[in-house]
Amino acid sequence: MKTTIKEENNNHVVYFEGRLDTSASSQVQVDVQPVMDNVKSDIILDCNKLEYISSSGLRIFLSILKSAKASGKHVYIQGLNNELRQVFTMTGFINLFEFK
Amino acid sequence: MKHKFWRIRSFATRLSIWVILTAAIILLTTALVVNFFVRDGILREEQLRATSALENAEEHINKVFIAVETAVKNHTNEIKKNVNAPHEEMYRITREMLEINPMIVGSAIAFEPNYFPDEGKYFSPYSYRDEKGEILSKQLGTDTYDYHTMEWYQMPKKLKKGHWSEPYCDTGGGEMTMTTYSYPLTDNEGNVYAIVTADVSLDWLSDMMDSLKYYEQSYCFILSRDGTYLAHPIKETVLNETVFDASKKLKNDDLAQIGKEMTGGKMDMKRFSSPHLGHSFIFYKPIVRTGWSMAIVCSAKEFFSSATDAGFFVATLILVMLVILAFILKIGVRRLTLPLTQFTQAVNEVANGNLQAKLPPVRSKDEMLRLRNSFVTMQRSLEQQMEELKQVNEQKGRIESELRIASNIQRAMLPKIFPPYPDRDDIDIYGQQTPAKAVGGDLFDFYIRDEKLFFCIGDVSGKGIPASLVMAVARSLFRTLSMHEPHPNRIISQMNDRMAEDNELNMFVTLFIGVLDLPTGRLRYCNAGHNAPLLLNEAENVKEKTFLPCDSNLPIGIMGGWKFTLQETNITPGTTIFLYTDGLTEAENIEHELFGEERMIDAVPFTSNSQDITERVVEAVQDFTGEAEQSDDLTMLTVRYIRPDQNLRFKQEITLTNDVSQVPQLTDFVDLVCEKVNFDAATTMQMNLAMEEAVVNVMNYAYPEGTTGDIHIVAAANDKRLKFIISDNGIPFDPTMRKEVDTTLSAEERPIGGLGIHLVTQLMDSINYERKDNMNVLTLRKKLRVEG
Repeated sequence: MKTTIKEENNNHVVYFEGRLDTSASSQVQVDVQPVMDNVKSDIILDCNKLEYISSSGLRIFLSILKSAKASGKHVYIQGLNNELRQVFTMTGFINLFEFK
Repeated sequence: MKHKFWRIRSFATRLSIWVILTAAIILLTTALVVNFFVRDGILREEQLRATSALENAEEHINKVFIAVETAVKNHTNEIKKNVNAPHEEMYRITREMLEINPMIVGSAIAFEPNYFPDEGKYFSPYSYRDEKGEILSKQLGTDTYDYHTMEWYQMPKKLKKGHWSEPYCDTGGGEMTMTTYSYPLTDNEGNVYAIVTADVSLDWLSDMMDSLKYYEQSYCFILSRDGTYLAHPIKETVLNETVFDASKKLKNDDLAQIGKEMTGGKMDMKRFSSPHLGHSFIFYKPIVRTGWSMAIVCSAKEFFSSATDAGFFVATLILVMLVILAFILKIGVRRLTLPLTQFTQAVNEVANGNLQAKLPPVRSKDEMLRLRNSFVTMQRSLEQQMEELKQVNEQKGRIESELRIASNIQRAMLPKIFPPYPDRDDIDIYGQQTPAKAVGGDLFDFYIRDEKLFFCIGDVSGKGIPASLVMAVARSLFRTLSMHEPHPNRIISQMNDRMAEDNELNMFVTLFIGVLDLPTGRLRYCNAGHNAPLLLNEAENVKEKTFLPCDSNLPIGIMGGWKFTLQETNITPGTTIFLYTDGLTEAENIEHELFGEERMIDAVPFTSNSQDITERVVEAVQDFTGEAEQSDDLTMLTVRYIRPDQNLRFKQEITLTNDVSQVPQLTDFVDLVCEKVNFDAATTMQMNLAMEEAVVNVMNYAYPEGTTGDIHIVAAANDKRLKFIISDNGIPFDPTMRKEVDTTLSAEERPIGGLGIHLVTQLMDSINYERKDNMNVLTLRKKLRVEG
């Protein structure tokens, strides 16, 4: 699992690559901490290369969303494939996030 | 077609016949009686008439005889005066006698022998009429005619009084029937010295008798003292024959009897068979003066001819009257009974449904009018009742349709799609209810949650709508309460508490609830006063039918707060649980015998199909009850627990420790399994997600932080489904009891946890938790995609 944070067009873009399962989630949590610590702009979560996500991954997404909301910023998700979108649907997360 | 009188259908005809018969009997009887009296009257009258005729005749005869006697006596003085005169005087006197009395044909004065010495022994001057009517005289006595010895001389002499001789035939002046009156002459000493006689012809007697004849076919006759005919229509018999001779000759005893009576001086009337007239009447009467007897004989036929004629006339009249009566009756009775015929038509019309049928008008104020009034009343009340009946029926129909709806609603609550789990190979369920009349109070239900089969069967006390309402309540309580509660005793306790509240009608429910853990065969159950289910154990070489042991608990709804006991047992695959209500064991036949548990045990067969079991039991019950009406609902629920590992296609196992870093191994394992069952990438991802969530849950919660333990995972698949069994020996932890995640909450409200199990239940077909042998056993199932 690989997590990259970039600044593009005044937005924080987080690129997820690989499988975000429980075993990977603690590392990812550490990786995205900078974005959550100081939210200065909207956050875009890029899932184009995300293969898999489990509830621990969803919990990271939720904590990012909560931090952004606390700062009055938006979180956008882009590039989510159909299988993962289904997981978002099942959990009701599809209603929480804005999709690009 | 032959009609017998009593089979005649028409009232009018029958009435007519009765009237005519009665009239005929009355008229004929009257006619006969009248005829009898008429004949009797005729007889009396004729007797009177005959008697008077006979009396007249006698009087006439007497008159003649008296005249003769008077004439004789009148001359005695002259004879006495002239006895000493010349003897010529005696001749003159006899002649004078004839001259004065034309009916005297001869007269003699016969003296005693030698009375006149000059005349000799015989002196009897005698005058008589010859054939020409001239009076001649002669001396009668000669030696050849010694008159002193004659009866006409001797009798008066001896009796010293006048005597009429027996009639005789005189041949002197032509043949004549004669009688002679002799009268003795006595001297001063009283000695008879002469007899004066007067001969009288009796030919007039026959003429007189002929004149007596007052019927054409009647005749008269006179008998002398000895029965000789003195007068008779047959002249030859006169003086030649006695009535007794005739009797002998004609062989007629009646005649002799009558002759005897007549000569005996009797007077009477008799029926007799006349030799001349046949059946006749005879009237006879004595002629006292002469000792004769006369009789009139009349033909009975002629006698009663008037009566017979009258009889014929009356008979004809009666016949004519009866014909007229019949005619009048035919018209009259028809007219009188016409309303009856019309009533019949009208009533038939009414019977055919036309209640407005017009009744015939009746003008008379008699029974017909009353009948009509009754019909009108009947028609009206019939109409009214039909109307009421219609209303009642409508009402009844409404109630019935509502009842039907209630019944439908009730039945709709019962599971009705069988088999209910066509894609499951571990369970085979069949339930059936045969309601008694309409809505009943039996219920059964089952459903599978978390790989646990929740099933129940119950019987609400009473029947009808109240029972069905309670049944509906019980069923929905079962569904609601069992949704979050896996222990049947707790479900029942809660149901009991709810139903005991406000149970004013004191309705109660006997209920059995079972919860069968399908992966393990663990059966937890609680019985609230219901019939103990029958277990059919069909394991290897064992075939036994036993009742599931049940604690005696109260039925629910009676006492709130009752502690219901929980019972447990292990059900081996191949076992059938047969549940029923008392409608089965208490089914009655016409002799009011109960079907009973023994017959039920015999009836439940060992077969591999739950529907088959149920149907065979129903068949046995119907054979037993026969014609008897089903008195109670017949409800059965058959649960067959089948060996779950049948037809295993493959089995794969892995053991992990409670470390999340082991998740990639789990992923590899799941990928491998999914590849084996040919799941596509998307499904494989779902399986991974579900398994990761389930296993991580166990890692996190079954083993508290700091402890380690193993997690054993078995993946098995048959033709239909894939199954993961995750077991661990950590602390009891039932993930299925976790609260449902509310997926509609906003980001701020959403809790961080709880998503995992939610995902598992979403992704898998079933999730089942069971604590068994100090292990947490979680079973996840996923149906294989049906190929083709």
